[in-house]
Amino acid sequence: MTTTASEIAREQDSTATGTTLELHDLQSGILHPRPSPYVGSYVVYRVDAAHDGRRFIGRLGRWIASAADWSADAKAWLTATLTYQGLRALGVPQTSLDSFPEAFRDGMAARAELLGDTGDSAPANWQPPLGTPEVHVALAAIAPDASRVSVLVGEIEKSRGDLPGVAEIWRQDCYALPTEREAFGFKDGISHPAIEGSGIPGSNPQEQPFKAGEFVLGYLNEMGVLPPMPSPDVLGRNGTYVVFRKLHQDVAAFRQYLRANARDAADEELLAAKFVGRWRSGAPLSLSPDRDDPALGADATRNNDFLYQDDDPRGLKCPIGSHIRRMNPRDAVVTGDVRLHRMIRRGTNYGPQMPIGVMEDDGADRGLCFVFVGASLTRQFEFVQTQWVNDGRAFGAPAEKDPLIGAGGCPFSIPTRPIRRRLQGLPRFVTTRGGEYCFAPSLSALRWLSELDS
Amino acid sequence: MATITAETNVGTKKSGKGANHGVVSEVSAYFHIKPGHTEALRGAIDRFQAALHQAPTELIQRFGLQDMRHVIFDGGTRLNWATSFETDWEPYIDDSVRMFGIEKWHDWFQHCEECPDNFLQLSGKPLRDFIQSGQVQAAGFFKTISDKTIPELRKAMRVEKALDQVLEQPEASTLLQHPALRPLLEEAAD
Repeated sequence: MTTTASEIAREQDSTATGTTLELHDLQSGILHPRPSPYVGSYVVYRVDAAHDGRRFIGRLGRWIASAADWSADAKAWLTATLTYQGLRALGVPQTSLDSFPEAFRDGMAARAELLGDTGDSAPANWQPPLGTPEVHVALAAIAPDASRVSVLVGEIEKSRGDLPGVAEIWRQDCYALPTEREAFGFKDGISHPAIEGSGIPGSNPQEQPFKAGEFVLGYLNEMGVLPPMPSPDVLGRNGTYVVFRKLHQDVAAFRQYLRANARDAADEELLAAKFVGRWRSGAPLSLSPDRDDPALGADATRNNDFLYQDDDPRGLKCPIGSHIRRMNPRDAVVTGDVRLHRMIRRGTNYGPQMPIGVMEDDGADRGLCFVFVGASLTRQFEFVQTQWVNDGRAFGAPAEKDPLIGAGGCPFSIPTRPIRRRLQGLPRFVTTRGGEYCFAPSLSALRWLSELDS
Repeated sequence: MATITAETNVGTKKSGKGANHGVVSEVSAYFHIKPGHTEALRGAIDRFQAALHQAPTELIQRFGLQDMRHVIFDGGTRLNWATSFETDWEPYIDDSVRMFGIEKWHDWFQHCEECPDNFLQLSGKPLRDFIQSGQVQAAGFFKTISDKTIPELRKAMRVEKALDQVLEQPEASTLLQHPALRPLLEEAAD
């Protein structure tokens, strides 16, 4: 298993504060970074009979570890989430349903235009049943290898045997490579915020730990207040929101664009790095602006230890509009308070990797299963998507979008001495194939949901 | 006791969107001044505006603020608060509160009849709700330089300064004769 910043810095718990997180009540998959490598399955169910649904939820508890009991040596890990429609299907009272935020009640498909999911990414083109009211329960089953995932999923399937009112309607297998690289070839999953009271240090020692309420309901957030929480307390407390998106990656288009706009192979790698903000190894441009440094990329104690404002305000090392700088501007001067828009992001590959050197699309569906975790769908996920990914005004470049995951059709400026490079007409490299807004209840809430009819 | 608040809204059908021109969006809101509070409001507006004038450039950029005015009218009974941003204002409401401090906002809002009594105990949502309660979308909005953000304008100012330095060189007119530099030469005459 890859040594992570969490393991290395565990003795120096920089998250210890007055905050006491009820770790025994949080699902472990919420806060803990995933092990590496791993294999997983996302499985979606439709609840046709509330009673069966509640029993199913109750049975899932045996496979869900709490954050207090999380172990890197576990055989497998399960996280359970529900959509608004799923909570309705379980028979959650309407007053409780109404206490959820509007975005969650709407569901992701209804907010597609806001999110930039238009054209090929529009819900009309999503993989069924994603984006429909039938998506009720979404599980993420993760394990170090395929056989253990298979065992876990098999056990869950077996537990559903006498529950005809719960139907599996979608499944997506996924995986994280030993290299931790995603389909475009970049090491992923490097940046992780420290959360007060969690015992999980962040990956950037220069980033102050975040208030627990940014990621878990029932605790003070960075505004100094309790974030909105669904009612009753037992349902909302220690829960959080999860955004799931299946993102198709057009690897061939990405490679072709680099090839067409680069001087040579080395320049292709540099261009790719400028898009992302890191070299493929994970080494950040901010620390290694001229060439890749695989040792740096592999070093969890160093590969995220940087800021922007003092060292690189103009983006000469890491372009201001590059992907990682949009996802987390750190201390750079952008419109917005970065502390209010931090996200826990997880990404997992699906589909076959395109062999290195292949330039033509083979028609395979490949990409990333993206997951966001946070206490506010709108202030965190939707804000970053609408204000920092598909809008460049916050960065002083209104015509530009995120070059890697943005909607495309726009320029991308790369500050360069002596003359800046400006690429035009970037294609859209990432297309949304589906997604949903989900709620990850606490372990207490899962029990409450299972006992609704009593 | 901490109060549970509601969500920042990045923009829904119910949002109080202002009019847009290019990259700039406006917010205009109208409030009733509490009887006898007009002068106190003037003092609070002076403090708020002074804080803006004294704020570091960096902070103003983080607000995305292009301009802000407070207009007391109708014989001192009404307040018009008008501002424009380089982004939509609603997604950044919590940001403006956290970065500037809710106390500064409350200092002048408290003199308006519509201001909730427990304003200081609440987060950005009441500010948004408060603004939306008095907001009227402009029937018309014009911005002279509507397609440029403040960072782009500052870049243009730096470029102008750099060109000035070049033009001060005795050999400038010779150097700018190169065909590739013709656009600069054409700007050199005034």
